[in-house]
Amino acid sequence: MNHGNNFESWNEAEGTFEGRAFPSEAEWLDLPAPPIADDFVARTLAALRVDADRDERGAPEGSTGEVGLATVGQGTVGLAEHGADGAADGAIVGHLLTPDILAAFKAPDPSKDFVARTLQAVQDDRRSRWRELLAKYVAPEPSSEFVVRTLRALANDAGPARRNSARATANNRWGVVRSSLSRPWFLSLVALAAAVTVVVILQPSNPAPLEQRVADSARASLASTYSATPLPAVLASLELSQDPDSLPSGGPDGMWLLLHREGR
Amino acid sequence: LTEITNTTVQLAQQGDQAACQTIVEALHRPVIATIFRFLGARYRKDVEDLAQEVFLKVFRALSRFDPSRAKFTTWVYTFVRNHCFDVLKRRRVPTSSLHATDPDEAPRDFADRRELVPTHDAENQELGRRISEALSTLGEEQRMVFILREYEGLDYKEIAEVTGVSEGTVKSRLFRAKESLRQELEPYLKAGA
Repeated sequence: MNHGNNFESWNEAEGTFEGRAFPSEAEWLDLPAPPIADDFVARTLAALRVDADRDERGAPEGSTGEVGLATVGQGTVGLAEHGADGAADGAIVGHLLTPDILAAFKAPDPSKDFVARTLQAVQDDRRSRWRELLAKYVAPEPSSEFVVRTLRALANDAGPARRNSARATANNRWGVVRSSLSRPWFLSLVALAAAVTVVVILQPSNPAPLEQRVADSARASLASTYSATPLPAVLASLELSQDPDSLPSGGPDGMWLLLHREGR
Repeated sequence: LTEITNTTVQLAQQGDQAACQTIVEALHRPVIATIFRFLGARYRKDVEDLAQEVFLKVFRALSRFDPSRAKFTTWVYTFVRNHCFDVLKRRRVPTSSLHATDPDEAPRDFADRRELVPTHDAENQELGRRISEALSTLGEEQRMVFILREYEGLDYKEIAEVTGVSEGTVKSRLFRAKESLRQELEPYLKAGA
């Protein structure tokens, strides 16, 4: 098979020689290589050499991540600030495509209120996701139909035999109480219970709820450590198993919700 | 130079508002710039909304950030990259070509050297537009690697972490991206030289 060596008839876009159909699969292995530019090897080696030189000098490797962020963060393009490596950068980009030229492609300045809007969006997002999460685990109120059916079932279940049995049980209990009343230890026990009840009733004031006391005694950022309930952790682990993109798990959000509800 | 320390990240993980603000303030400009440069000028109106979506994703996943595995900024760039790719997948906006048929978008013939030297804002804007168009002709992965390296200054290792490929692949993509850009911008570069 003779394909000839007329590279000038090579069609770059089609990947074939002009005037020839695309070769069959059997012919592929015999096809000559497509023409390569004379300076391809030299250009490639030169580019790799420049790249390697830049890496060896250690800049902008290592610290450049921060440099880029900082310079762009000041509203300028990071390339211009690469300083001494500008020439090397320009060379590797393609000899003439210098950082100065690339710097013309400037990104727009963000709105002044972007940070505030984003923080508000983050807060709203966390709040709504926690509400959704909590709503999943709130038991619904029983329907009136369910209540009626249950009461009817209980009423039907109370037949004559069951009523007799219940009456006999009540008689037995009254007999036990009557016999106990005649014993001294029982009277002492009743007196002690009455004294305890009086002491409890005369307590000066009701203590604050546990959550309130925890919130008062701990910094909000450490609230998870003092979480009064395992619910946040349970919910977070359930959520994480169901939704890999879920909110950060842990206690602070639960406490944060509590504090938010109290307007603090 | 505002550095995001591990302490700041930990506080943000605990819901500290000031720490969250520090993170957004330090990173919003590079995040917006990267999204804009990657998606192109046609997304100019959407770029802040997209950046905000990136931050929402970052803060939702904040509890899973592991400082022993990556720098925080590198980790954030993975969200930027993934979100940009999601946007392109979702909206399927065709990439524009330097060889546009629209007369307003047609490439200009830089015959006058004065036009080639970016000394005026208008000329810079024109050049920026040409670079944007040239970037849009690159493949998505090549474009992202080029932007992270040449505009955001990430090193090869960091880019490899962001894009999920080896450093060798990063170098290869970067080299091909630069070659393509050089070819696309050749008329300007030759005249400018």
